[in-house]
Amino acid sequence: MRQLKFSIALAILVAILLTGVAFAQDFPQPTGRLVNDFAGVLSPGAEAQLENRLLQLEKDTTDEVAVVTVVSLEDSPIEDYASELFQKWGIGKKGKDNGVLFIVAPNERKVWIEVGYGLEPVLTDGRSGRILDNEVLPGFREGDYETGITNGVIAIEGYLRTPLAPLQDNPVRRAVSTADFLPPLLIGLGIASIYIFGFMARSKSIWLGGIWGGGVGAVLGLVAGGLLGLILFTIGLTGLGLFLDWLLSRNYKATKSLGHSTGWGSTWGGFRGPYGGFGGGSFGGGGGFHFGGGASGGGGAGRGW
Amino acid sequence: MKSRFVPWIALGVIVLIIIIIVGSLFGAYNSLVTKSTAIDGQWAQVETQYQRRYDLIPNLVNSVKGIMAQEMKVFDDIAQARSKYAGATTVDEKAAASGQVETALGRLLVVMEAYPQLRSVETVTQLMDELAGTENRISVERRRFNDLVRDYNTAIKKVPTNIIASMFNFGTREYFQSASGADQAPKVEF
Repeated sequence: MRQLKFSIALAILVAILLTGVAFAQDFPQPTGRLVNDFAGVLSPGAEAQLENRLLQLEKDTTDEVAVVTVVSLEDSPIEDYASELFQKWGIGKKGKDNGVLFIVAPNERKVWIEVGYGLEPVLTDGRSGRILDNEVLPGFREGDYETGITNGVIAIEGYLRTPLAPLQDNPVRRAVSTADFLPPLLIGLGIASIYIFGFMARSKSIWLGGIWGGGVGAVLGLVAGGLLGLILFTIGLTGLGLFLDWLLSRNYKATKSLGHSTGWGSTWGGFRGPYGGFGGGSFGGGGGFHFGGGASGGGGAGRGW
Repeated sequence: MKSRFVPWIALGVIVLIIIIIVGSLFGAYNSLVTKSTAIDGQWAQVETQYQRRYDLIPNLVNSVKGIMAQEMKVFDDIAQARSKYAGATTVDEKAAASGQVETALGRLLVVMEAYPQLRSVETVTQLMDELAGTENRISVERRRFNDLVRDYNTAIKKVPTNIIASMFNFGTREYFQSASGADQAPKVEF
């Protein structure tokens, strides 16, 4: 029964860790492609051609240019919609912030080019405005979105392939905090712990559990609170590791003495005892997002027509 | 046989509880420090964009001055607001001065509409794009600033962070509020 409770507690812990993954629903989800014609103004041929062109550009320069057409801006100004969509999708590589979002709202007759922090010196607001005036709007005014978008993309590509100004670093970049890598670290250590404890249950000795616990404690303590955290977490988790290994070893012996299977699978990694079972949930697969987590700060230019 | 293990189990549970409590206190303190630092960093972002606007203004003024020769009052106001921003040192002063710059700039944009011939001047349209982009950057960075402040102010009111917050004097942070008459960044529609 104790094992059952422990399993439930573990399942709850995993569920809590995974809830942070939920996404806001107001914006279209990334499709894993660079060209996202939600409004359906591009022919399939032109869409594929643009996609290939932009993939090639990304291969050569690592710059990520996303083309998005939307059915509705949901009553927000296009510049706000663009910067929030940019942030949600994370267009551009993390750290380089070299993304561009070329967004067209045919129904509202608005277009905006949002430029990531890293490309602001290359694709300046003035240049974005020139591209819209000279390449994009002539087509749009005649209702020919395909020509306008294609010419716009070619012009953007031209600037990105010939960097006229050297890329300067954005003076104030948002610092990467420990909070960014703490959840994956916890999940990783947690899964590794479950797996390792499953095997350690088979050994008579309980010291392995203590050593693993101490190691995990040292890592977590260092991340959580410097030297004091390091000491407290190491001592605490060593104790916990010893305790768990002892518990699991006992569980293993009890399972075996009753003649049940002690395989890793059939005992849920040693956590399932001979007295009752508990089925674990399954992990949902993460989406294959194309974009690399770049950021923008509202730079760019827009037009209506 | 069974009673021999009871104290060990009890010890294990107590150790676990201590770890959880200590860990969450560390976590709470660290998250407040992180959030508070993020707000300062975001304010620096806002100021970077103010500076950008500040640097753009003389270019714009010079490019339109020739055509708008009889509108000296507008240019005087802008110059005045701009020098006030240059002299501002505290965050509050900077916010107030930037409000004044916004008002003066807004007036220039209105006056510029009376000069349609400006539209055909390449440098003017280019500068107007830069200015529009900068105004948008300012509003984006300000919105992010307020989001971070809201996040932080919520955190210091929640359990258990509120205990840590009162122990280590984490006070509420002020939202950015534009000076009166300039609650919107000037709309650049050219």
